[in-house]
Amino acid sequence: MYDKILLPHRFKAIGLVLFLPSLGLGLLIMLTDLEFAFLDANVLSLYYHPFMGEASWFKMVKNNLTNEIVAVALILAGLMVGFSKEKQEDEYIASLRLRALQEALWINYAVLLLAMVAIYEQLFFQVMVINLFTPLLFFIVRFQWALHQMRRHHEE
Amino acid sequence: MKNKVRMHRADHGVNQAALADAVGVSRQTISAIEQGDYNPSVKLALRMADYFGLDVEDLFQL
Repeated sequence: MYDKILLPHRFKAIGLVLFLPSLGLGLLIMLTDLEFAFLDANVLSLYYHPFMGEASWFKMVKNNLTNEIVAVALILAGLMVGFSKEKQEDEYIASLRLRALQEALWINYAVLLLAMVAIYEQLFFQVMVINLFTPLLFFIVRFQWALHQMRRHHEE
Repeated sequence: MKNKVRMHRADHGVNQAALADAVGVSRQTISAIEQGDYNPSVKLALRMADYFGLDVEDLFQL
Protein backbone atom coordinates (compact mmCIF):
# COMPACT_ATOMS: atom_id res chain seq x y z
CA MET A 1 0.00 0.00 0.00
CA TYR A 2 2.80 2.42 0.91
CA ASP A 3 5.49 1.15 -1.39
CA LYS A 4 3.92 0.76 -4.81
CA ILE A 5 5.95 3.55 -6.37
CA LEU A 6 9.21 2.75 -4.60
CA LEU A 7 12.18 0.86 -6.01
CA PRO A 8 13.37 -2.40 -4.44
CA HIS A 9 15.70 -1.95 -1.46
CA ARG A 10 18.82 -3.09 -3.38
CA PHE A 11 18.68 0.09 -5.49
CA LYS A 12 19.55 2.16 -2.43
CA ALA A 13 23.08 0.72 -2.27
CA ILE A 14 23.54 1.15 -6.04
CA GLY A 15 22.29 4.73 -5.72
CA LEU A 16 24.69 5.51 -2.89
CA VAL A 17 27.66 4.19 -4.85
CA LEU A 18 26.69 6.42 -7.80
CA PHE A 19 25.51 9.41 -5.78
CA LEU A 20 28.68 10.49 -4.00
CA PRO A 21 30.99 10.57 -7.07
CA SER A 22 28.25 12.23 -9.14
CA LEU A 23 27.77 14.90 -6.49
CA GLY A 24 31.53 15.47 -6.27
CA LEU A 25 31.88 15.74 -10.04
CA GLY A 26 28.81 17.99 -10.22
CA LEU A 27 30.33 20.41 -7.73
CA LEU A 28 33.64 20.30 -9.60
CA ILE A 29 31.88 21.11 -12.89
CA MET A 30 30.09 24.04 -11.26
CA LEU A 31 33.22 25.45 -9.69
CA THR A 32 35.78 24.80 -12.45
CA ASP A 33 33.78 24.27 -15.69
CA LEU A 34 35.41 20.85 -15.90
CA GLU A 35 34.90 19.13 -19.27
CA PHE A 36 36.39 15.85 -20.47
CA ALA A 37 37.55 16.31 -24.07
CA PHE A 38 36.77 12.69 -24.98
CA LEU A 39 33.11 13.45 -24.32
CA ASP A 40 32.87 15.92 -27.23
CA ALA A 41 30.15 14.63 -29.54
CA ASN A 42 27.57 15.50 -32.15
CA VAL A 43 24.18 15.16 -30.52
CA LEU A 44 20.61 15.59 -31.64
CA SER A 45 19.03 18.76 -30.32
CA LEU A 46 15.22 18.75 -30.38
CA TYR A 47 15.15 22.54 -30.62
CA TYR A 48 18.26 24.57 -31.22
CA HIS A 49 18.39 28.34 -30.91
CA PRO A 50 21.93 29.75 -30.99
CA PHE A 51 22.66 33.20 -29.57
CA MET A 52 23.39 34.51 -33.05
CA GLY A 53 21.43 32.64 -35.68
CA GLU A 54 18.17 31.04 -36.56
CA ALA A 55 16.29 28.54 -34.47
CA SER A 56 15.65 25.09 -35.86
CA TRP A 57 14.11 21.76 -34.89
CA PHE A 58 15.94 18.42 -34.79
CA LYS A 59 19.44 19.68 -35.49
CA MET A 60 22.73 17.89 -34.90
CA VAL A 61 24.93 20.10 -32.72
CA LYS A 62 28.41 19.82 -31.25
CA ASN A 63 28.37 19.48 -27.50
CA ASN A 64 30.52 18.27 -24.63
CA LEU A 65 28.54 15.66 -22.70
CA THR A 66 30.36 15.93 -19.35
CA ASN A 67 27.72 17.97 -17.54
CA GLU A 68 24.81 16.06 -19.09
CA ILE A 69 26.21 12.68 -18.03
CA VAL A 70 27.00 13.88 -14.50
CA ALA A 71 23.57 15.53 -14.10
CA VAL A 72 21.75 12.40 -15.31
CA ALA A 73 23.86 10.21 -13.01
CA LEU A 74 23.22 12.54 -10.07
CA ILE A 75 19.46 12.56 -10.63
CA LEU A 76 19.19 8.78 -11.16
CA ALA A 77 21.40 8.09 -8.14
CA GLY A 78 19.43 10.56 -6.02
CA LEU A 79 16.14 8.94 -7.04
CA MET A 80 17.54 5.51 -6.16
CA VAL A 81 18.74 6.69 -2.74
CA GLY A 82 15.61 8.63 -1.90
CA PHE A 83 12.95 6.38 -3.38
CA SER A 84 14.10 2.86 -2.65
CA LYS A 85 12.27 0.84 -0.03
CA GLU A 86 13.89 0.57 3.36
CA LYS A 87 14.67 -2.94 4.62
CA GLN A 88 11.38 -3.00 6.47
CA GLU A 89 9.22 -0.44 4.75
CA ASP A 90 6.09 0.45 6.71
CA GLU A 91 3.68 3.32 7.27
CA TYR A 92 5.88 5.11 9.82
CA ILE A 93 8.76 5.24 7.34
CA ALA A 94 6.31 6.36 4.66
CA SER A 95 5.27 9.25 6.94
CA LEU A 96 8.93 10.22 7.51
CA ARG A 97 9.52 10.12 3.75
CA LEU A 98 6.51 12.32 3.05
CA ARG A 99 7.53 14.84 5.69
CA ALA A 100 11.09 15.02 4.32
CA LEU A 101 9.67 15.56 0.83
CA GLN A 102 7.44 18.40 2.05
CA GLU A 103 10.32 20.09 3.83
CA ALA A 104 12.55 19.75 0.77
CA LEU A 105 9.90 21.45 -1.36
CA TRP A 106 9.54 24.29 1.16
CA ILE A 107 13.31 24.82 1.11
CA ASN A 108 13.39 24.70 -2.68
CA TYR A 109 10.78 27.43 -3.00
CA ALA A 110 12.37 29.49 -0.21
CA VAL A 111 15.64 29.47 -2.17
CA LEU A 112 13.72 30.35 -5.35
CA LEU A 113 11.94 33.29 -3.70
CA LEU A 114 15.15 34.56 -2.18
CA ALA A 115 16.93 34.28 -5.53
CA MET A 116 14.11 36.14 -7.29
CA VAL A 117 14.23 39.15 -4.99
CA ALA A 118 17.91 39.27 -4.07
CA ILE A 119 20.04 37.73 -6.84
CA TYR A 120 20.30 39.09 -10.36
CA GLU A 121 21.68 38.42 -13.83
CA GLN A 122 24.14 35.57 -14.40
CA LEU A 123 24.24 34.48 -10.76
CA PHE A 124 20.45 34.14 -10.76
CA PHE A 125 20.64 31.55 -13.52
CA GLN A 126 23.39 29.70 -11.67
CA VAL A 127 21.19 29.57 -8.57
CA MET A 128 18.32 28.32 -10.74
CA VAL A 129 20.49 25.50 -12.08
CA ILE A 130 21.52 24.54 -8.54
CA ASN A 131 17.90 24.75 -7.47
CA LEU A 132 17.01 22.05 -10.01
CA PHE A 133 18.80 19.61 -7.71
CA THR A 134 17.99 21.01 -4.28
CA PRO A 135 14.61 19.27 -3.78
CA LEU A 136 16.23 15.86 -4.28
CA LEU A 137 19.36 16.73 -2.27
CA PHE A 138 17.49 18.24 0.69
CA PHE A 139 15.00 15.39 0.61
CA ILE A 140 17.74 12.76 0.76
CA VAL A 141 19.61 14.50 3.58
CA ARG A 142 16.43 15.16 5.59
CA PHE A 143 15.00 11.66 5.09
CA GLN A 144 18.26 9.89 5.94
CA TRP A 145 18.61 12.08 9.03
CA ALA A 146 15.02 11.23 10.08
CA LEU A 147 15.74 7.51 9.62
CA HIS A 148 18.93 7.83 11.66
CA GLN A 149 17.08 9.67 14.44
CA MET A 150 14.26 7.10 14.40
CA ARG A 151 16.68 4.19 14.74
CA ARG A 152 18.65 5.92 17.51
CA HIS A 153 15.61 7.11 19.44
CA HIS A 154 13.59 3.92 19.23
CA GLU A 155 16.25 1.38 20.12
CA GLU A 156 14.91 -0.81 22.92
CA MET B 1 -3.71 10.64 20.63
CA LYS B 2 -3.00 8.55 23.72
CA ASN B 3 -2.59 4.81 23.73
CA LYS B 4 -2.23 1.87 26.09
CA VAL B 5 -0.12 -0.27 23.79
CA ARG B 6 2.78 -0.61 26.21
CA MET B 7 0.44 -1.63 29.04
CA HIS B 8 -1.40 -4.26 26.99
CA ARG B 9 1.85 -5.52 25.53
CA ALA B 10 3.21 -6.02 29.04
CA ASP B 11 -0.06 -7.72 30.09
CA HIS B 12 0.26 -10.15 27.20
CA GLY B 13 3.97 -10.67 27.82
CA VAL B 14 5.07 -9.83 24.29
CA ASN B 15 8.02 -7.70 23.30
CA GLN B 16 7.96 -4.95 20.67
CA ALA B 17 9.55 -7.15 18.03
CA ALA B 18 6.91 -9.88 18.41
CA LEU B 19 4.07 -7.35 18.23
CA ALA B 20 5.73 -5.67 15.24
CA ASP B 21 5.99 -9.01 13.42
CA ALA B 22 2.38 -9.86 14.20
CA VAL B 23 0.99 -6.60 12.81
CA GLY B 24 3.46 -6.22 9.93
CA VAL B 25 5.51 -3.18 10.89
CA SER B 26 9.02 -2.56 12.20
CA ARG B 27 9.91 -2.66 15.88
CA GLN B 28 10.81 1.04 15.72
CA THR B 29 7.26 1.80 14.58
CA ILE B 30 5.81 0.07 17.66
CA SER B 31 8.27 2.00 19.83
CA ALA B 32 7.29 5.29 18.15
CA ILE B 33 3.59 4.54 18.70
CA GLU B 34 4.13 3.68 22.36
CA GLN B 35 6.07 6.89 22.91
CA GLY B 36 3.44 8.97 21.15
CA ASP B 37 5.81 9.99 18.36
CA TYR B 38 3.61 8.43 15.68
CA ASN B 39 -0.14 7.94 15.35
CA PRO B 40 -0.87 4.75 13.42
CA SER B 41 -3.25 4.51 10.49
CA VAL B 42 -6.76 3.18 11.16
CA LYS B 43 -5.75 -0.10 9.53
CA LEU B 44 -2.74 -0.58 11.80
CA ALA B 45 -4.68 0.53 14.90
CA LEU B 46 -7.37 -2.07 14.08
CA ARG B 47 -4.74 -4.75 13.53
CA MET B 48 -3.12 -3.97 16.88
CA ALA B 49 -6.44 -3.96 18.70
CA ASP B 50 -7.31 -7.27 17.05
CA TYR B 51 -3.98 -8.75 18.15
CA PHE B 52 -4.79 -7.93 21.80
CA GLY B 53 -8.44 -8.95 21.41
CA LEU B 54 -9.64 -5.44 22.21
CA ASP B 55 -11.79 -2.78 20.60
CA VAL B 56 -9.67 -0.07 19.03
CA GLU B 57 -11.06 2.53 21.49
CA ASP B 58 -9.65 0.48 24.35
CA LEU B 59 -6.18 0.77 22.87
CA PHE B 60 -6.25 4.32 21.45
CA GLN B 61 -7.99 7.36 22.89
CA LEU B 62 -8.15 11.02 21.92
